[in-house]
Amino acid sequence: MMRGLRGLRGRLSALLRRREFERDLDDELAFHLAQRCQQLREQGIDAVEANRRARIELGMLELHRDSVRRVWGLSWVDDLSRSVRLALRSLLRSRGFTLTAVTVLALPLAMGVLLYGLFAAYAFQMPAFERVDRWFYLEGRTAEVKPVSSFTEAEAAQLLAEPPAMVEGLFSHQPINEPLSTDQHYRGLGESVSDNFFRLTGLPPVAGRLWFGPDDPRDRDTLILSKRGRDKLFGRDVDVIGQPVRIADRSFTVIGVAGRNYGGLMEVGVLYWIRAQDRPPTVGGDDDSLAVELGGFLREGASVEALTAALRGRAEALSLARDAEVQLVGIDAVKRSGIMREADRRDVITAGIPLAVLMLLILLIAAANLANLVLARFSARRHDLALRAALGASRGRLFFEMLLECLLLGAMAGLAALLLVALLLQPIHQAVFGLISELGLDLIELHIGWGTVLVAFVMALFAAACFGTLPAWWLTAPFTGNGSANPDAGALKKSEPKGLRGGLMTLQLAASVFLVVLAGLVAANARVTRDVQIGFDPVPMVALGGVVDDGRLARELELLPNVAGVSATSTIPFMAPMHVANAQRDGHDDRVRLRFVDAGWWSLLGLELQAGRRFNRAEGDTSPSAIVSERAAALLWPNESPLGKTLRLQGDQEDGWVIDRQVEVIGVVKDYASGWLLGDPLRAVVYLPAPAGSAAAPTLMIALRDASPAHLAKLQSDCLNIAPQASCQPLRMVDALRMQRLPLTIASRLSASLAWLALAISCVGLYGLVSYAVVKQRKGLGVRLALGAQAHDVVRHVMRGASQPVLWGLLIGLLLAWALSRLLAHVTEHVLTFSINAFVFEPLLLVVVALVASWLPARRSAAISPSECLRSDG
Amino acid sequence: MPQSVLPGTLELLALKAISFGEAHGFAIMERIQRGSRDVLRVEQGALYPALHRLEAQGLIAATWGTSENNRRAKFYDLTPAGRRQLTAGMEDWRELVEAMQSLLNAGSAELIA
Repeated sequence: MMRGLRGLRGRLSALLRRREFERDLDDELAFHLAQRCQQLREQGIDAVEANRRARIELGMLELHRDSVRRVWGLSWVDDLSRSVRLALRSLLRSRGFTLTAVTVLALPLAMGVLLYGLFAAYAFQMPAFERVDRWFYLEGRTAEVKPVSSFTEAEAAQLLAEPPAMVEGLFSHQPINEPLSTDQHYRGLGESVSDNFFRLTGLPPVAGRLWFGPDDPRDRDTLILSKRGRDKLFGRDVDVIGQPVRIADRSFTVIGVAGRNYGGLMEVGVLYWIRAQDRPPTVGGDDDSLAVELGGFLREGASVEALTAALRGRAEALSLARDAEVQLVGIDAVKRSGIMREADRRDVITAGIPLAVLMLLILLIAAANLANLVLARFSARRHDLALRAALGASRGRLFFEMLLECLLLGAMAGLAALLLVALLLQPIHQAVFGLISELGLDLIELHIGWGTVLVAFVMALFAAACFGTLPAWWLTAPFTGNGSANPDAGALKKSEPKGLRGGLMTLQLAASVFLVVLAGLVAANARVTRDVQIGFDPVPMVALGGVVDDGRLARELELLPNVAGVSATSTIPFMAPMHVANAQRDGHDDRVRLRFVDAGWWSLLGLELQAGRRFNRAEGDTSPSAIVSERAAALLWPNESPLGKTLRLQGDQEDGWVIDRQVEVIGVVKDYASGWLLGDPLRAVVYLPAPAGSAAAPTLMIALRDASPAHLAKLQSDCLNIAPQASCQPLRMVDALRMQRLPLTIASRLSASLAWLALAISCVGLYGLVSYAVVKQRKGLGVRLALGAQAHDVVRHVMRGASQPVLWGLLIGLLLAWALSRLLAHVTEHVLTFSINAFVFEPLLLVVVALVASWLPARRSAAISPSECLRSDG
Repeated sequence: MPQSVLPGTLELLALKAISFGEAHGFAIMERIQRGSRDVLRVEQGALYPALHRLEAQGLIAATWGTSENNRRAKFYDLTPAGRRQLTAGMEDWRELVEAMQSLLNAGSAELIA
């Protein structure tokens, strides 16, 4: 064991201190020569003769050096570096090929690495806590085995007061999403945390101080800023200590700025922290809401399993005060491996799987393309290979050298991809999540981590191995056995990989067609959300959520000079799905959407009823009146007037919302969109009455005369003045629409760029394939021309060969895309699964582009001179 | 008449030569030749790979020092593992020699019986 280790250490030392190793070896051999010389001179031989004899006796020094290097395992390093130098030289000689191959691989790699970089930045961000390896959080488990991760304030206080012995302490944290103000209003996230939070996490202040705790009166109503919070609220160079900050109706004093770029325990940046006991009671839910999260650090040697067991008894005690449906059966301690919870990370990964599959598909296309390019390149070397095999090179050696060239191409492409990512990461981050920052939330800073670099090179080398293995294996097949391999002309001919090239081309075209169709479908869905006729003008509209105050805020806001009107509804339009209910009448049963609105809703949106009357102010949220959309009327009573008809609405939602009510239709309104825009935005809707400020209609919709940012800030300020306890965060309807459209717009752009990238790669491949075919068939084509064939006949002949993989690719790609669309249609009703553009026009465009890519080189066959061809022996 | 070292025995001879005290490559070669009364002739080029092989196996350890004529030289010394290997190698060699002698001295009666 020790001997083995010593040997390994020696080999490593020889490898790492190569220059020293070589010098020592030279010195050792030189010493031997000198000793022998001296011995010979002592025997009376003159210096020159002694030196000559000593050298002859010692033999060829370089051979001895090689033997010693082999002993220390250095010869393979020398072999490898020699092979790398040769491969690099060969790649540099064919600059056109190298540039094409690196570009073809670097573009899809850059897209993959970019997406992974964005994912990794959010999914694996780690706070700069001390003892972060012992960080855990507590997760309450209910009787339905559905984990609920959070606790009520009272429960949190109980657990914090008596932490189990095996933890160094517990801390609590709870998000705050309230506007805050200094001399102006800001939007941004904060957290209320237990006053031991900074002490436990070991985060130092970069300015001022942290909390003294526990319950120290000097900490009362104090606030600690993050660096980002300091920069946003006061500016980088301002002394913030002692500055006042107002959150809801409470004033706080800044006492410090947290260090180590700590940005809170949320995926987006947190601006500030206040103590849990200072949290304004009006902020974010009542005392019974399960909103407080608990975390902590294990003592050295303790395990989360032991902690879970220790907390078993505490769960029963806490359960006494809970409602039956959220009774705790246990509290699990879960190791935390990042700011994003494991469950959320799993969701993100699940959501990202289709994208990852698409990326792999693009890489596959690039790899197939490069395999074709490499096949053509290596095919040209077949005679060299045969010669080297005859001189003793084994198949393994030849295979390795070809693969090494491909791996070098992969490494270059990986490097180019990383450069592209470094240039594009921030702009794309801003473009993708720009809306978040426009809404006042703060994006995290992105950096290219070592993980991303590793992913880039692993993907690059994997792709390189994929496209290098097949051609290298195929072309070295005739040179099996030992160095005596001497393939005859037949064997060489057999290694001409015509079928393989066609197969690879078909594969990449099929994948391209599949991607183009998929991109077409995503674009069709994006178009639906973009082109949908909303039915009202969203520009002057803003919404305020969570207002349950018997209508006071609505009445006061209506008096403001910039407010043209206020109405109330159940949910913020476009930001949440509407409730679903079964509409039963005359033995029929249909699914409809429900929306509660107050009497002023229709006039606020500028919508006239098609028939009947609007709700009046006397109709409360239990009134049996209903207004139906045209779509609902056509669904429920086709070819009949719905006025005066009755129906029973029954709904039982997962979120606990229940309705069972008999209603009479008093009006019909034209269709307009106010729920999800995806799929079919104009669904059958039944409207029920609810007054502003009631629990059924807690969302205020406000029409502004001027919805500019300045007036929006003024509205927020006025709202806070009228109702300091309200969540005064006006959301513009145009922003809500953008948020609805954004994912599809991004997906559409992304899939379109992926599809066109795939098409471009395939066309480069097709161009190369046909060019190569023309060169290879030069003699045959020359014979045809000599025998009287017309130029266009020869071009047609070449095109016939090129069109085969195009047509097979089209067929296979369309079949795969059709199968996917059927699967999607089976799984969800929310998306369009067919579009004539996606399935017909765009694939046809692809075929045309592909045929043009093959026609361009095919034209060259017409310019072949028959006499030259016949004279040449190629 | 000088003889080449038998294949596979150079390492054992080198270990034995080093067992008399640390020595550089040239001295090891001389010790082998002197010890064999100039019968065994060491291929000088084969000596150094053999010494490095023994070093890589942890049977000898090398240090740089100064030779008797004040030149920088690499000195080899036996490690405990090398000492054990030498003992085992010598034992194997003796068994081999005895077996060879027994075979070469055997009469026809012993061989054919």
